[in-house]
Amino acid sequence: MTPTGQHHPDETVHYEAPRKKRAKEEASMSVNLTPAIDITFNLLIFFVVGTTFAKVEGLLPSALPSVEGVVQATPLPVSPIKIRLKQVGDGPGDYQLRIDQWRQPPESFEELTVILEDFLNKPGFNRDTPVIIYAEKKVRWNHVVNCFNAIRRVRWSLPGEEGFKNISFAIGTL
Amino acid sequence: MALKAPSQSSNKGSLQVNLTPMIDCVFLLIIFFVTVSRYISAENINIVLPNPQYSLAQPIELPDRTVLNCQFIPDSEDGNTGTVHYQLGATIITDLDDLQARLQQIRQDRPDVQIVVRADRRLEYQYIRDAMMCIAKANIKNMNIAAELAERQ
Repeated sequence: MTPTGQHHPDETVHYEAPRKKRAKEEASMSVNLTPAIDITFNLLIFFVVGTTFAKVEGLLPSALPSVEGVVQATPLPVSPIKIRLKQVGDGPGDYQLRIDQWRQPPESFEELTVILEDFLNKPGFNRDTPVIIYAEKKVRWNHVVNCFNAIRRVRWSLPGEEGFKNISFAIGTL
Repeated sequence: MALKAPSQSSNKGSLQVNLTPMIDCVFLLIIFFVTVSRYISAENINIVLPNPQYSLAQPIELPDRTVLNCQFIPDSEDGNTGTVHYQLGATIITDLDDLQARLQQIRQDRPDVQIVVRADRRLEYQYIRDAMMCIAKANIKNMNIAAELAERQ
């Protein structure tokens, strides 16, 4: 029924309210992507900002000899283990290791740890034996730290046993 | 939901709350505070630390520490060679005498101070040797070498 009260042929059979008809025509089939993109960008920025790319770092503690004034070579009580670290070639990755009085030079820092573990079982060597790192001027700092770490690792994994207590860096020349 | 035809009530004047702008604002506020609260300490400048095999480095909180940064400044195209740039705490050090004087001053003020040497892995040993000599001359008892932690297996 129209508000005026007149009958229309269509209205009698399949009556549909005019408001409903209008609504059907207006209903759009396209998905509005704008809010989705907004949220996605927001999430993206959030995670990019929230992530830290910095690597975790730790410390290798060491004590320095107490010296007054000028640094002097302290007299060594027992024969120390001298480890020499050389730079080979111009590349940053090349180094050469050598242990004084030891025929076969270790080829890697892992091997150095193994050899030094053997040293602890030999007569005349104990964990008080000083270990001195003689590094060449041109050697990369990474190798020096690697060498220091390798010496510290001696017997590290064995419970109740300890490695060398006295590791030092030589200041003078080779 | 997006396809819903306008209902009768919405034609009369909507009582629905539109959440989209609110969520937008909330996200923006979160990002704002996350960004503002993350400040990078002046003494932890970006340095490529040494990464020894099977690193024994430990994350240690030192009670009283001063960081000596040794930055690598490349001076060639391939970046293989370079010079050093020292920074003690937040102050930039110009030469070794300056470093020595500042370290001695620190040692006087704080007898139990520990020095953390954060040096770039690409640096030549001579530069860090000079710095270590200054630390030893200043009669500072403890020195710590910063290195990357061991990778988790």
